[in-house]
Amino acid sequence: MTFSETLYKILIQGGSWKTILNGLLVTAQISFFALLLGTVIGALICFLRIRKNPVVRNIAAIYIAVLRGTPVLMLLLLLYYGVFAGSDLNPVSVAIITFALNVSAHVAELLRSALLAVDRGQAEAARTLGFSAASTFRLITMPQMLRTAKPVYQSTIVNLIQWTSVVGYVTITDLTRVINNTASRTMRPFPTIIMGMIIYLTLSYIVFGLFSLSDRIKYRKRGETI
Amino acid sequence: MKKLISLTMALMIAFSVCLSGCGANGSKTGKFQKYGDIGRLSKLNITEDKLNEVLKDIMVDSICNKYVFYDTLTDMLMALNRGDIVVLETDQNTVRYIVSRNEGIVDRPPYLNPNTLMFSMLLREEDTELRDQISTCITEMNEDGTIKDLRERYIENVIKGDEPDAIVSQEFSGARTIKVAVTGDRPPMDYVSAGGEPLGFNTALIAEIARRLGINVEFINVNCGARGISLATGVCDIVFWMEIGDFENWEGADFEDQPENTIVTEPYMSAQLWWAVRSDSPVVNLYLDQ
Repeated sequence: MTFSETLYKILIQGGSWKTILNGLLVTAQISFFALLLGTVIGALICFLRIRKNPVVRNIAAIYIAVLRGTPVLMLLLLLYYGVFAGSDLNPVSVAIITFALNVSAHVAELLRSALLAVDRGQAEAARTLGFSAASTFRLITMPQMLRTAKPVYQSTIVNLIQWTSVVGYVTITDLTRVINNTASRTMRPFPTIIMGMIIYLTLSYIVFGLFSLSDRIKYRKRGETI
Repeated sequence: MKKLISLTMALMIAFSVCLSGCGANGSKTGKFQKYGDIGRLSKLNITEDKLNEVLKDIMVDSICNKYVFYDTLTDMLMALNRGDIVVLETDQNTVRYIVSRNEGIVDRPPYLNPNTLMFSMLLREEDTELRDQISTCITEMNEDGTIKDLRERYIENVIKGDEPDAIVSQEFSGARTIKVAVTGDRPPMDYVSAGGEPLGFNTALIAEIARRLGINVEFINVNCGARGISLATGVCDIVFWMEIGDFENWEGADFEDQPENTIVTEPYMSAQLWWAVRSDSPVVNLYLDQ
């Protein structure tokens, strides 16, 4: 079988491109909503983690330690086959919750480290000049914190997309599952897996591209070059 | 410092020697020369270690060292190509499918150890009534030739290169819906079409059984390794299962692989346990002596 025939069989024959596209959409859907939810929860956990109250701070620390220290597949199996077994939640929703919880722990830590990297003296100076606590955070601390957190956040998104490849365990047909099914059907594992890797790589570079584009827009507005 | 470096070097050399000793092919223990490991798809309940423990005495006189489990057929096929395993062992139909689509792989009967695999379905204990209905259906379908027809269409013709249309299940309003786990990992018994639809003999069989019983069927794509937990937790109601045995002694067979709290239907088919080996493997030449 020639290379083009193999590609045709993997990608085109019998509408297999639609199946691959559907798998890709499922991966994108889980990643997007998990990131959205995870970022919100992560910000909240970060807020609790830096509180002075030791009880609140330790609860947040335990949350982060447990979720960062356990494999996401275990959490997925626990939630799908255990916690939500009797509920009407569909597998995709459970996967979104699972990955959101896992990502939230990572986001909480990356936000905290970014926050610690901001010079505290600047906030104190702002308060001395009469800025409210909220204004100080919004105008002085947050912009610097986000700038520091951005590269790590970008990597977290790419990691999240790759972590979602285990959702086949909970009956979801995502991109990895489609690639596996295609490899089993066509008996052409290597080209099929390479194809899958290229799709994941493209997805990752779209994320990098979006971040790079946002940087360019921001600097162009300021009249700077990067 | 010199002592520390020398000690580190010595440890590294010792470690390398240990590693190179592990998994060496062609080692001789027992009656036959050992050529490597046998790959199998993950079983439903029995673990790799447990299976190797159970088969310990048999493996002494085998040409392979031990069994290694893989979650997908793709993983196992790549392990065979890479040389991690010398034999890919599964049912004869799947092996024929693999061989028909891979020029570098040939099929062989298991060397000196032939076995028959029985195909059946597993349900949860509380579904005894459904199990009995399915078993009755299987008997009827065997008698009226339906299973033979399905076998011709979804196994023999697919191995020859046919691609049958997606299986359309009949819908019965108000009837119970049974959820059936398909792995997509055992063509032509169970695979997923290019269009993303579950296909294969197993799928066609359960669709026909559901039609006869007047119940709805929903196919759920489950990873091979997650079939047991899916059945136990009610994510699915039926999983396809195969075990070494024969039609006569089915009820009394000692099923190490059958999970607790499950019941098994009548077997609907049997097939020989078969080997796929690389055409350049030394195992191929063994058969010349037989």
